[in-house]
Amino acid sequence: MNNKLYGRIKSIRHDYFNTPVNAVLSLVMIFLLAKVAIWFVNWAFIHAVWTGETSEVARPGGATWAFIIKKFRFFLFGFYPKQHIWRILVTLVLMGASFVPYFMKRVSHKVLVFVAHMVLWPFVIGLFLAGGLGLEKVSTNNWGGLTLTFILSALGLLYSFPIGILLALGRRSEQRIIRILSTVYIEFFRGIPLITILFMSSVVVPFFLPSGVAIDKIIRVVIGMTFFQSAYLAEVIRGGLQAVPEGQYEAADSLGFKFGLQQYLIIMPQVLKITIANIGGISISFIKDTTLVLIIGMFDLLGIVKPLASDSNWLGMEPEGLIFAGLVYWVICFAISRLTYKIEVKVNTLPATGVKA
Amino acid sequence: MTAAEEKTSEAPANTAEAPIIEIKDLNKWYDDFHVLIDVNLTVNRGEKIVICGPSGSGKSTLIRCINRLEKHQKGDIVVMGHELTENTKDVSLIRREVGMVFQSFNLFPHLTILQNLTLAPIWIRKMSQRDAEKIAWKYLKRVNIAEHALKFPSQLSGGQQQRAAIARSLCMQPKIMLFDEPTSALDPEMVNEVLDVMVKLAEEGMTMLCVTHEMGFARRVADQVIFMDEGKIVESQSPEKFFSEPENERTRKFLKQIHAIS
Repeated sequence: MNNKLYGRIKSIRHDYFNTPVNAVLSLVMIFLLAKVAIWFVNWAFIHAVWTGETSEVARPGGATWAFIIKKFRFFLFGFYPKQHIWRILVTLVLMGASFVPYFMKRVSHKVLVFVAHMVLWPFVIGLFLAGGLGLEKVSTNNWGGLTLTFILSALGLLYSFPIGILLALGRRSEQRIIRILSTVYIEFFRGIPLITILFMSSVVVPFFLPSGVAIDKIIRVVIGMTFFQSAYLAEVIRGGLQAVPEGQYEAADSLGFKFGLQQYLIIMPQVLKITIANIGGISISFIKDTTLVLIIGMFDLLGIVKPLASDSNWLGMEPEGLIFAGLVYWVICFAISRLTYKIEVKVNTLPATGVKA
Repeated sequence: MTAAEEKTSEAPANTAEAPIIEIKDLNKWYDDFHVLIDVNLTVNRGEKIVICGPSGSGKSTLIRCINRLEKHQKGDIVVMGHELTENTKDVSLIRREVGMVFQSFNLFPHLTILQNLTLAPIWIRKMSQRDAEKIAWKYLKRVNIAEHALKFPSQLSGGQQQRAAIARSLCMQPKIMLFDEPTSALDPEMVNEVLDVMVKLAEEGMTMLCVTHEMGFARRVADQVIFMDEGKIVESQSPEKFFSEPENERTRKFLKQIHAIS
């Protein structure tokens, strides 16, 4: 133990204090870091205010976390009517419960569970959140906060996955027309900014819809995001497809597997293993991309900071709100990062065999 | 589907006396490169054929044409009474009757050995998992890797993987087995364990086409040894004649080189 400590001190001295210039630079850096850290601890904890009804409780040099605590419901649920919030909770519980079959040994075709998600989630969300079948309607304009972030991310990822897989297969297809169409789709949506797509879906699309036909903004946004996201996923999956040796296809062919079963049972499981790290990364950036909906006037977790801080009782509370929102995003994304890393370690203990001769 | 299946299951009965594989004037090109030139070959049920020749002579391409991993441009290939054409439905029906073993094993890395063996019987032959596993265990024991059944391919040696790959093909209960240089990717000390399995299979009466340079194996099991060079069958003989008095100059040269190595 002492030896280890001694070794570490020695290596620090060797790496950061080996010349006078380096030593001075290191000391300056340590001083600056310490200064920032002390300031932040003072602001966030020591001088912070945790209780209060208005921004008058704020102390100079300290955060007013009372704002977050008072407005916590809005950060979570947006402007969803208070008496209906149980419906959001029911939706979340149902969506969470729908993951259970993935872990059940008896369910041998997990892909069917996935298809069930694709069919049922919109219904659950539509029924409980939007209202129907006797439940009072709640306009999607009132949806917001973490709930909205979650719904946009979950639906976007859910639909972009299968479309991404189809596009990746399409781009490698032997049919020339399918190959060209897939390539054009992928390159088109990878080539334009997500904001453009969001503007199009919120402003331009309604303009072209026949009169009397109205598609809710949320649906339009989810569709637009799915278009965008599936193009990126397609390229990641295509990379994984290229990493599966030709011999795997030949072995599957020679056993009598046709295209569909071959992909489902033999190729895709290997592709998903190869690409798991990239898929995790893309999911993280997708979740963060959902913040762009604030541009088209939706109040997701980030977008809701501004209206909340415009409350005349809580003026000037943007820093606290933004830091809180950032922290929540970080927790979510870090959790996904750790999760994908765990899956990666679990599946990557099995390197591919069959080098192409 | 069912009608088509009946067709294949009846096929052996109809063609009991006819050759199981008939190849007539087979020609194949890779772009401008003429890989197979007027190849003719007839294989009867239970026959064992060893194909050898220098690399690039078209021997692998020839057997890959038999289960249509390669498409040919000219000539006829008739396998168990079915002609191989653009009709893909027939192709997958033929493929389940024709097992193939590759140089690089090509086991499915994400599945255990047992799952590798049962995958096709369950999904293609529509067997119950129980029946498929029963057959799998039978062949696992026959190729002597039963104790590795629950491991993944990457945990096995090359010889063990290749034996598993042979067992995987046998689980489909094929009528014909194709071997494409099954021992060339193996360390020398593992070659014999794979050849032993193949000899045993030959003795049980399986129809086999083997691309291999293992001349000891050819001597022991082959009914016919074929020498190919530059896309043509140069010589086709019984093993006795092939090794003692080869007719063609190129065959003699090739045999000399092989002997020089081994």
